[in-house]
Amino acid sequence: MVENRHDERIMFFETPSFIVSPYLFISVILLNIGLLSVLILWGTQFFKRIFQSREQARLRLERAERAAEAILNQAREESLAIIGKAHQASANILKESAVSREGFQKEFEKVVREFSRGETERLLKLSEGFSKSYQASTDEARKTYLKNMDALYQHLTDRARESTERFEKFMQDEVAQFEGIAKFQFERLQSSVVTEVESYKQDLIKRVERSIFRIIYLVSTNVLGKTIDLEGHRELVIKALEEAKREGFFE
Amino acid sequence: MQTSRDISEILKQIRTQEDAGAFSEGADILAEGLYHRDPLAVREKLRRRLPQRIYLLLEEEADKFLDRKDPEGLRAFISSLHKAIEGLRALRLELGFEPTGETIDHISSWVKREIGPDIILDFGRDLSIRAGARIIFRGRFVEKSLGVMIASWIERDKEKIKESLRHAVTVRNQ
Repeated sequence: MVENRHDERIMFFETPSFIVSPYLFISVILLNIGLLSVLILWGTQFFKRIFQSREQARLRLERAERAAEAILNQAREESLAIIGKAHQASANILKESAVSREGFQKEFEKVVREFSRGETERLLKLSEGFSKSYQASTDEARKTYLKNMDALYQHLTDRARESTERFEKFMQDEVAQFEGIAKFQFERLQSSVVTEVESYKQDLIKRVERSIFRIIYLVSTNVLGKTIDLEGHRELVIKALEEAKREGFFE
Repeated sequence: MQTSRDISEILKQIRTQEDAGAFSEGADILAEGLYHRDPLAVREKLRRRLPQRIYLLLEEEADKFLDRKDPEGLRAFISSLHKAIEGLRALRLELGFEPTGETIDHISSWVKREIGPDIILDFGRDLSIRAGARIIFRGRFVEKSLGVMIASWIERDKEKIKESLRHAVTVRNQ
């Protein structure tokens, strides 16, 4: 069994005899070479054609540019000729128009002068009428204005007089009231000042009196205390005892 | 009864607290003498320890009993004297001067006559009083110094003083 399997494997990896025939192999190789050559030739031709068409296009472009330049030159020349003719024609036209303009100007001035004269006369008439009317209206207005001004002046005068009278009365009342207040304040102040002065005076008098009495007291005690003799001292002690007895001190 | 009269006579002689102390001490010496063999020693002690006025007075009073050979009477006298001294009331007078004996006599006489015979004087010194006296009696005091007198005089005669001053100023201004 084992040997049979081995044989089968060998058989499986072996090339069949009809495929590995040398002729066939060489034929295939040659065929491939031939196909490759054909392919290379075709590629060469293809790229060659592409380069040729690019060159042709460049050439065509150059030709077209030259043609366009020529056309432009021709057009420029033609246009210059046309412009020269036009210039000439315009010069002529200008000459003709200058001649006709002088005539037209004169005619136009004449018409305008006539029109102006007519309009001036009409405006003068209108202005005269307007002036009369304006004069009349201004006179009327002046009269009305003066009348109104008189009335207004009278009204203002009356109002001013009334205001002045009211103000005068108000001021009189205020002055009277102020005088009353001032008088009251002054009297009160005067009374207060008099009272203060009197109080101050009384206080001063009391202070002076106290000072005088103090001086008398000090002088008396000092002088008497030093000048009293023994008998005097004795009598004063007796007098002191008598006073104390009179006051009930010993009871 | 004789004793009481003598005691009252002796109390008249006790003018001050010092006198009272001396009489009390003299009474003690006499009491000791009752049991002493040498009467001369007792007399000498009295003479030496007490002021002469008091010594003479006590000696005189004691001799009355000794002449009568009455020691019990003397003992009773001494006892009465002690009681009388203990019953004396002190009147303190603070003065601005030192009183002489004459002044003390004068004041004491007046006090015993006008206030009571049992009053004795207790003098103190206060120079601020100058004259007059500050009187202290039974816990109360009253100031009757020269200053107080002048102040009360000023208060009493204030209007007269003011009038005198105004008059003096008016005359001076004229």
